[in-house]
Amino acid sequence: MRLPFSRFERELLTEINAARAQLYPNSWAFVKAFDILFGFLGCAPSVDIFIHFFEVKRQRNNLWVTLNNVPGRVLLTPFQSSFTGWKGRFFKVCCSDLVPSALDGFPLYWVRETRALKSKPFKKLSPDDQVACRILAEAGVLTPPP
Amino acid sequence: MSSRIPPPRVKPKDLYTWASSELLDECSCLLSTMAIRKHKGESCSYNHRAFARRHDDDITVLPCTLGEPVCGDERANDGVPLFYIYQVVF
Repeated sequence: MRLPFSRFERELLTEINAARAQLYPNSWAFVKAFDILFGFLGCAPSVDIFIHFFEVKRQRNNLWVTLNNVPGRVLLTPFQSSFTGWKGRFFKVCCSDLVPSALDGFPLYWVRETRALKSKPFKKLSPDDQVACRILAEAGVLTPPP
Repeated sequence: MSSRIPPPRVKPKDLYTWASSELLDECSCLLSTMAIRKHKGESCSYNHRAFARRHDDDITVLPCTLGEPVCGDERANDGVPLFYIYQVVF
């Protein structure tokens, strides 16, 4: 993880309406891998493309959030099947007095009403995002879109 | 000679009335250096001391105080905005 967050990371957290700590480790690994993959391909990552490949689910009895591959549209696989021992091992990140805006642009604190998001269909993506999906297909990382 | 008055003790249950007991109990209990040296399992825990420093002029990464719930906000941090991240190495 790198600080400060990228524009994509900030926009995604805002869209999901969740604090960073509410996402499970594997879910954040998806976010980072997606960001890195698009950087490698020379495309700008967007929240809409991300939601095309991943669904956002809330845990029933608590405030944790998971990101899951959309069936039949798997772009990335989980880094590790199960992480253990990470709960209870937290840092806190503060902004300095000099630049209080350094943490602007995404939810800082735990949110009760996180947003569960269904996958966005290809047809509802913007033309630019559809082009990015085709670049992904040409790069051989997923099956071609319709 | 003036003695410093300690800040009033914060009760997370009073501050975060919306939070479940499970979440309030989710406190940071950082590993000791000895525990890290003895750790034989997956390398998913990181030595917080490596991060407890100022990274640049804008952002500071700090270990949590003992018993600090991870659903806290700036009210429990002298009014300074913050967010929490967990220690995981991929």
